[in-house]
Amino acid sequence: MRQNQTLGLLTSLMLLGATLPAIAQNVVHVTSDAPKTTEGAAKKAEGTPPGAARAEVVAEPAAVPRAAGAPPDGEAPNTPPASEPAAVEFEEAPIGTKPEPVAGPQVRWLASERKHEAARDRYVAPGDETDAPGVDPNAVHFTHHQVNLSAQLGFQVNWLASSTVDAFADKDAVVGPLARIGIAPWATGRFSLAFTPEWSFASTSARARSSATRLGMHRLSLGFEGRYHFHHRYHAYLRVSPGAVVARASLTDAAGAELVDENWAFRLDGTAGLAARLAGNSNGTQTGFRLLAYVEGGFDWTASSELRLEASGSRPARVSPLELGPLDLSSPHAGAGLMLTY
Amino acid sequence: MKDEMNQFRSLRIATISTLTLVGLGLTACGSRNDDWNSYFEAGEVVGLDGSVAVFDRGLERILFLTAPSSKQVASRAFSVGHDVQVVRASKDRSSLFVLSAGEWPRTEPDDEKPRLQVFSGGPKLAEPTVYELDDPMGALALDPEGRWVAAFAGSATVTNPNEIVLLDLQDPKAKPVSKTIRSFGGSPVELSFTSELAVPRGPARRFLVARTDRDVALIDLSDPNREEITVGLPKDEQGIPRVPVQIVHDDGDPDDKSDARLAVRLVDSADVVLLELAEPTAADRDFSVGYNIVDVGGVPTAIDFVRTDGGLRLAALVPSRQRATLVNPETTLAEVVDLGGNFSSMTRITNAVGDAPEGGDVALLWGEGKTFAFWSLGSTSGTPYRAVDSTELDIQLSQVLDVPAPNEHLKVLVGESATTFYVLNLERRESFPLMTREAGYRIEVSGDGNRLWAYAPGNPSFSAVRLSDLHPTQLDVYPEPSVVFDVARLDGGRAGLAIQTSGGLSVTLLDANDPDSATTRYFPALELEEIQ
Repeated sequence: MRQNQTLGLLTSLMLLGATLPAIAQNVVHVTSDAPKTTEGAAKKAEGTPPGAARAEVVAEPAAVPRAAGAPPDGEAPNTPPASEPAAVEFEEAPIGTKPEPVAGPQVRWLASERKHEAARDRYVAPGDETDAPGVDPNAVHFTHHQVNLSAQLGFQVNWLASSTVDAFADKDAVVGPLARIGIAPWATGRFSLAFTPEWSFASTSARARSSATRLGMHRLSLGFEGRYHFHHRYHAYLRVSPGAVVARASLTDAAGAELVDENWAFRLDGTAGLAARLAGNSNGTQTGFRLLAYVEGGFDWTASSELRLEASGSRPARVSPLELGPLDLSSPHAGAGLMLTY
Repeated sequence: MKDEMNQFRSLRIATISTLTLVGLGLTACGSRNDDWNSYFEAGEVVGLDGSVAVFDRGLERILFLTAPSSKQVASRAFSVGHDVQVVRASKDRSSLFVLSAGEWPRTEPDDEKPRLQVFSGGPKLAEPTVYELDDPMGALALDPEGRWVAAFAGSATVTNPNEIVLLDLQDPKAKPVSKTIRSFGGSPVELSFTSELAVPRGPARRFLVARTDRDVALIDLSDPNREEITVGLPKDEQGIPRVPVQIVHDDGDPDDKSDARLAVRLVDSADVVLLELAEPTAADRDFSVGYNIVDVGGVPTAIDFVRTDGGLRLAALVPSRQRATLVNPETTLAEVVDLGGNFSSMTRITNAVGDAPEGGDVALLWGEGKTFAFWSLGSTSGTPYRAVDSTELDIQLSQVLDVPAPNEHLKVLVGESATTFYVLNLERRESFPLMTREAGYRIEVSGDGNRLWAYAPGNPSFSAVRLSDLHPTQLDVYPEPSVVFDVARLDGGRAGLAIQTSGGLSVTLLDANDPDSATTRYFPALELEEIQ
């Protein structure tokens, strides 16, 4: 049993490990100097000494499509009307950017333009363009990547190695659907917090010698999920979910007597995972639907309960309960699915 | 376009991860104990004093079913050795013997050896006593007095068919005695234990009698290592030794140390061999074996030593001539008694009848006909025709069942495929018919002698018959029982266990003293007991 649980955990870690390098490939676009790491930038930097590439990219804003209605290059964006006070307003500095000198007291910088302007000083990796041209989505607020509503659909594999469960399953792995909604109301920096009510179901049937058996589990929990958005496309999360499981075990013996046990048990789940955006606006400042995929793994501790199957039918008469020992549904698990956020 | 490519890459990663997850989840995971996959197949089902033992062939274990109370059935599993050869209860149902051949071939020191396990018959169960054997054996002979067990009929690659392994149940730590009897071309077919027989020198002792297909060997159980005595048997016209088929013994006069005898019935022969444990002819012997051949006037189907008003006699039933022959073992003179029927079987019922003649036995006779008879051996001399009192039944008797105390004066007469069976009261010499709805019912007499159960395997209706007044109680249970046993409960009561063994193992529990279909309890899926 311990081996199977270890195997499950290892599997979860392997999956996370297998996913990380691919993610890191994208992450490095942002966190390292672009000419050294990106293919597109390297082409642009050919024959150019290190450091010049950045100037070249910045010097070629035309390479970045401009959104309709955007002011032309060289023109002071959103020049304030003359009637307005010539005050300098600073809004919150974009994450990862240095404060820059203000062009002049007569120029008022709005936050969004400042972000765009700052983004021009940074390399924008291919595919990272926001709806606003030339904006590095990692340089703008992740607001709606972090604070949002979400709905998830996926599946979960549990490795149930309890000897009592063996009566109901040929193999330790039990697969079932999972549905989760998320409310992420709060964020700070790259972190955010979400509340994730969750339902999942798993069912398995087998033959225990001459008896037909079936075990179904409905798991309900409320998760507290901490997310770290290290990239506009990806975030990692840790979730702790207290909840309950209602398990229904049934056995039909060779004579046709059906016995059933249904009970509730407390459970506490710890899960770590990674989510990647598949579709949707990469600019976190903009609202909209976004589709993400997630991969996760963890351990679900469930309080053990005595499995006592009692007759559900009228024949045979006066069936004595069948006691199969403690039902332990604790197990490592892994899962994957899709998440739609708004 | 590039954004789409990036999203495609993310999608690809997610897809690969998902497929990997599903693949690992379904293939790399562990599977359960194979015991769960073993379909239940019941081997021998043996009724014991306080439990029922069910041989779970698939998992090589014995499931003991006990009834701690009127509403409770407990089951406990004990592993038995590999390749079980014999599962048998002792005559008094107090013990269960399981002989196994062990792992074969044995290649590691830890590989299991052939062994005999002796279990208590309950209702209090305990770990079995285990006797290890050197070689696998295929048959067991049980001492009716509970002291000895003999294993024989070896089944190894090279076997010694004349080897007998004797185990002393009173001394489990004693090393098994392996003994090879001298062979004159035969090997043991059956082993039987005598009661204590007096011999001219030394204390009285018991013997293990080995019957081969051509001779008889006597093994002195007071010293099993002592050389056995082998007795050759008469040959037929072609010079082939006659095959022994039945051996009986009698200690004779308790005051006479030299009149213990054995008699051997032979296949298809009118001759009966009388063996006498007489004065020894050698200094190192306690006795010698005297040898006589007696012609009983036809091929006998049963022999036994009986006491008549004229003394000890060897009675031989000769159904082909509808008579019995009484042989004086001292003089070998024979006296013929006309029985008036072709009786082929007999059992002594002297202690059970109410008007047993003084100084003589009473035997119950039955055979292939529809008649049974009381044979009073206290009035044979001079008036043999008055000695037989026969009664006709409407069934052809195939079995006579004993009833334990306190109703040992009752016998149950069972016919082959009959819809009637009889309870015979030996005290009043009356028989009472009991009808069944259809043929094929089996009769199980309770261990406390107070009732019998009549059931047909696979039929939900069966009956308990109270023997004190022959009151039958119809019972209907579901599922249909395969067998019914009556065992002692731990709380002192009696339990009726209607056991269903087809497919799975389940039990319907009844209160044997007050059986009622409306108060039964059903215990399902007992084959899952103690599987981890």
